[in-house]
Amino acid sequence: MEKLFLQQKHVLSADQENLLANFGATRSVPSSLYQALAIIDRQDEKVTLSDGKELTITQSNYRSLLAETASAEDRKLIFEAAFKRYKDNKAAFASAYNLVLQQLSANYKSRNYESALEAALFRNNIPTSVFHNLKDVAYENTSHIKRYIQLRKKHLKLETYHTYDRFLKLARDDSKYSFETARNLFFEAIDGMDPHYVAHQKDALLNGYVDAYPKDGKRTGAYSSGLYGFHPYILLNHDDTLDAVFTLAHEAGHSAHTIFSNENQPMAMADYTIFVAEIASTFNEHVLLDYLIKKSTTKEQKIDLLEKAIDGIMATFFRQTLFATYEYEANKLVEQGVPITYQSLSKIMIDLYKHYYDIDITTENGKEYVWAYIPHLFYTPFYVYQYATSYSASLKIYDNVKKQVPQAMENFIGLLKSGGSDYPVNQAAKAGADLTNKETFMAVIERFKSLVDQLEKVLEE
Amino acid sequence: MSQWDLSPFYSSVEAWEEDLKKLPAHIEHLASFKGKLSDLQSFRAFYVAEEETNKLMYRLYGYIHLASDLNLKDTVTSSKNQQLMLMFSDLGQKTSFVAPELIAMGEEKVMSFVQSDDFLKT
Repeated sequence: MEKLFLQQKHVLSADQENLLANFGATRSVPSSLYQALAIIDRQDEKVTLSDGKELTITQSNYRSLLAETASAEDRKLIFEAAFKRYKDNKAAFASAYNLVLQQLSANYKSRNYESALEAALFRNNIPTSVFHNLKDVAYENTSHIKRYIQLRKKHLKLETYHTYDRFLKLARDDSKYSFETARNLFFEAIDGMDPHYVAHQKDALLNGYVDAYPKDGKRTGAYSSGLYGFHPYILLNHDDTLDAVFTLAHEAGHSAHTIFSNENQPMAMADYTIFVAEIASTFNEHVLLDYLIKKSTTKEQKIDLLEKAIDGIMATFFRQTLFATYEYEANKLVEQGVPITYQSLSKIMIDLYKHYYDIDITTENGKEYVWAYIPHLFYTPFYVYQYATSYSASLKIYDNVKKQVPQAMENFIGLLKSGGSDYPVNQAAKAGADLTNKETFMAVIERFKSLVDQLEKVLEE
Repeated sequence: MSQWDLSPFYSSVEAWEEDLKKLPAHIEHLASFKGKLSDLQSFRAFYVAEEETNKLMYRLYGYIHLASDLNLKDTVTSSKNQQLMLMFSDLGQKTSFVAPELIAMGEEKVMSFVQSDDFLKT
């Protein structure tokens, strides 16, 4: 209820609210427009690879195809087919995104906010400084990304490195992990940690509460579903890969979080935000990864795990922050009265990719329309930065636990117990990750640098 | 055993359907508090009733959304899932008076109600 009154400053008079409510139905138009353009009206492209094989490229298969295709020419074909939709409809996508931006602008002005960013972060009482710290730390520390890309280019023996070459693997470890094996591996990884913590991770994976294997008609992907008063349920589509082991650990983190919250909070306070949810889940990934690296014996295993750790930071920290920065810059254009066209949107992405990766995306046919490829940018503006902030927080907390900072684990369990009883930035701070301090984000950079160093050493051995 | 056991919610779809019949009365009861929240007794009664409704909703929702995710091709569970969603949106609409009513009462009064009662405090 306090939250309601916190928002009071931005709630208007009954008359004005009524007036705005009349425009309520228009709010979902950008989402439905995007869905129409990107999904409903999409026609999947067919390509013929150099070996004569004909393939249909879809949104769901193109990443794994890129990972498995050795020929650079073929990868180019696959990538171009996947992005053709955005290139062919660039003006329509830009127009849909302009609608997103104009709605954000009209909303923040009508409701007395300083900016679209402030309005978006206000819901969970997140200071804009958190967003700026993240954006600035990532932007100022891209040198190790470039070093990693050079390393990949060299060891993958590529003439030119493209953005879509990120799916290629430096080493192949084909070990298989059944659901039972994966579960035991995760239990080994957390063995010896706080007994209360271990107990709830085990509860999360009890028989009857996990549906492990894919089945015809079953929902794809993975989730943990928690409802107050009930034990949480986990849905997996376990495919015996190493990735599936991490997914299991991730979802167990969500379920354990739910169990802690429900045990310690009344119904109205138990529900936690995605901001803290992703701290609980990614914490488990750090624990598992560290354990597996320690346990690995062969060079192939080491490379595979280090690459996985580095790509995790590339995808969750740098890439999401790049997209968040794009959102910030695009909103700034509107504030400055600059017309929104596909050229002006692409310009932001071209500059950011050059700065982050030292890749000129105009040389990749269609990549400059990557802003049209990310559905979150249309569906839920200023959302993706949370992946990066939560990841940073969990890494910092895990670091504290590893370095045996006094009370580090107790404070983390305090966060898990606190459910939705406080604002997320306060919860993270109490758990040892102060997101209003740049140091927290710098910990990710340090970790990234150290991982790239380790990988370089193993590769050059 | 690497499959879900949904019996903590309901033993069968029939048992779920029986329970669903109770939901409309809950919704009407909550809607009947419109214009009455500035009175402490009704204020408290509203939040007690809301918690009861939430408990029922969680049980109904928990069962049907998990059951339909196990087989999205099963049209029986997916149509029941949709039926429940429609009742949820009906609930949302019929309780939309709450936020404006609380704001009209003012923070001071609402917080004094909350502080005066152990149930409301949590």
